[in-house]
Amino acid sequence: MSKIKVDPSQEQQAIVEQLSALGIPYQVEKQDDVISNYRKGKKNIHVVPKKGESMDTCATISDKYICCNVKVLKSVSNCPYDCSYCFLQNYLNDGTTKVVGDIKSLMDEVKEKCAAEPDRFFRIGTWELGDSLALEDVLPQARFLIEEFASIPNAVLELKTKSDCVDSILDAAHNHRTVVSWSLNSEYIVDYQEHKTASLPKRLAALKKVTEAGYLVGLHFDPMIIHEGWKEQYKALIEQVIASTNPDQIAWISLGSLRFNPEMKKKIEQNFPASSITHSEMVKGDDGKMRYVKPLRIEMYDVFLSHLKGCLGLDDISPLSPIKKSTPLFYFCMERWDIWQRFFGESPTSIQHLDLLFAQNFYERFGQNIPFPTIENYLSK
Amino acid sequence: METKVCRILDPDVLVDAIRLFKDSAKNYSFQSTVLVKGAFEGNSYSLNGNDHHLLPELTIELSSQEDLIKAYFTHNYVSQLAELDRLYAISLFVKKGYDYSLLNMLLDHVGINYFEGLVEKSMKLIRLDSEVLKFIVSKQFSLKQAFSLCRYDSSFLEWMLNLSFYFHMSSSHFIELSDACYRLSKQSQCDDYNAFFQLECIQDSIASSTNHHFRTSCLREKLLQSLNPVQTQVNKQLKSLASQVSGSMTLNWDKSLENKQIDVTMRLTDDSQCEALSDSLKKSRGIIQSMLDLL
Repeated sequence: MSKIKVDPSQEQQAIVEQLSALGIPYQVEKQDDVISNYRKGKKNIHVVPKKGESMDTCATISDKYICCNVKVLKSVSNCPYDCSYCFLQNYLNDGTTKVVGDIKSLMDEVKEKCAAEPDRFFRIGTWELGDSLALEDVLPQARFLIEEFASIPNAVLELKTKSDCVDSILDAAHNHRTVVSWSLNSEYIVDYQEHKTASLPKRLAALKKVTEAGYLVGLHFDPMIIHEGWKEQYKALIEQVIASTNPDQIAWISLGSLRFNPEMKKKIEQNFPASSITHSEMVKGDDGKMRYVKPLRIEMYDVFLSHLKGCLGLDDISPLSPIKKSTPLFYFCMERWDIWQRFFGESPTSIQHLDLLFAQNFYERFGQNIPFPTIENYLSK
Repeated sequence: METKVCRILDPDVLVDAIRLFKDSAKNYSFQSTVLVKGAFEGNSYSLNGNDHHLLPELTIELSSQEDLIKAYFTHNYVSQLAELDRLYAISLFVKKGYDYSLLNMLLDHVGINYFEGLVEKSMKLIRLDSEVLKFIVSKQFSLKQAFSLCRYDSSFLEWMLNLSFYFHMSSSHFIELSDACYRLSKQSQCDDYNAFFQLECIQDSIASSTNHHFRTSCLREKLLQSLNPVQTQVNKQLKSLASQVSGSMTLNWDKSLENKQIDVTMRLTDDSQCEALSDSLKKSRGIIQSMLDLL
């Protein structure tokens, strides 16, 4: 990172004191100008105050694709990594990497919203507009968030990353209320499409560390991308991942295929001319996003899930089946109901229904002290 | 013929002035009537021209290249041209080695509104092969359309330009077919465009008719089929199944294969046909199930 600026209002925040302690230079300056180039913005970090509402629901565009109703906490914006498929390249108007300094205000909002619906279970992630842990060595937010979530009776924090920056959180008092998740992909995709991220072996080593620290973990095999040798590469990935963690600590596993809107296709081709990810056979779905044509997606999921089930020794992985202690919650991210039916035998009836399934699974497997999830508290909302 | 004096304060700028005015006169048609004569008289430089709008205000003190170029654009009414023409005019200067900041200044000067990536895209665009650039100007591409071509390498665009001679290509055809050809070349891992030209779908399209419009439609269809082999094959199977149902009933489906559903249309001219149609539908269950299995 080349330049860190701190908004004058944030100078006294603990996150900034950490910069001084580490001897990392920064300037105290108000930044009003917008960096429109998102790549240039990656090299300019700005510690900013919280503005407006920061907790929201992960975007759902079409009811034909099932989403999981996870909440997102906007604690960072932009990311030091440079994945070819990243939607931020077509999303951010201001590419400046922003880190909210006043994390306490973020948590005040989280606590207020969770307290307003005490009978619901909230999954709250910090990864919508950036990586949850990538900047942790410079501007640590995670430890504070983890320890704050530990005492919220009806919420769990999800930190999702492509980094290996976990050392600073290993001894945090998490109380099993934080799920440390990885976005995982085949070694080929990590090496050629996920630029500047931690290598696969480094991510797996970090996964092992947080597992040993007693954290719950999440595995996101998303976006799955067709490439030469993809079948063997994804099978190898599954084996390496399972060997790096304890299946009983896996809270959830998601699968999703490469998707982007048509405008982003052009951005990918301009920003990553050597990338071939836009060249496959794709169709525009009802949510306006381009995806692999469905028979190709089915083939991918079939190869992947068959091997994953074998490695985990599971026959039934449907999130609608009776919950077993050893079975993580499996779900598709932004997939159609018929894909769910094909692989799980049935599908949630709505986004709220899937939210309920998450709560029930977490309650049965890890959280006797979270509110008992009832249909009324989810499906009537 | 009028003569005006342009006082140049910096001798280096004077040399540039002569070169730039000569080049622009040679390369850009709206300047073709201007005669440029170089004559050193101290710091003065005289221009002779019969183009009335060039000359009236040309007596101006110039102390930098930027001033000179700004004067050039101002006096040639560049800001009144279409955006792409303005960019093309700029290209005549920037191609000669002027830098990013100069381009930024010129874009602003000729009134092309700034948006993200404009300068980068403009740099790429104006460095395209001059034949390609002439083509996109002559086909009246919008600036957005022209910029969309910047993601291709120059050899591909030159190849597309050659291909376009066999077909009828408006700007939107060119954009669409460039995208399709580029994807197909990447899918087939063919970087040798001469070999790519020999591809069956291209050769068949060229041979399909003497009519350029028909050839273009043919190329579009064949490229789509080649780019979407899975959809093409599954839709073929679905079509074959759908053709087996009774004539008074038609089965339709989402050709993108995303929606798993069959739409049934029945044609009735009398309510007495209800029973027969109901029987037909029942008899078609197997076919409908086979179709749903494919979706």
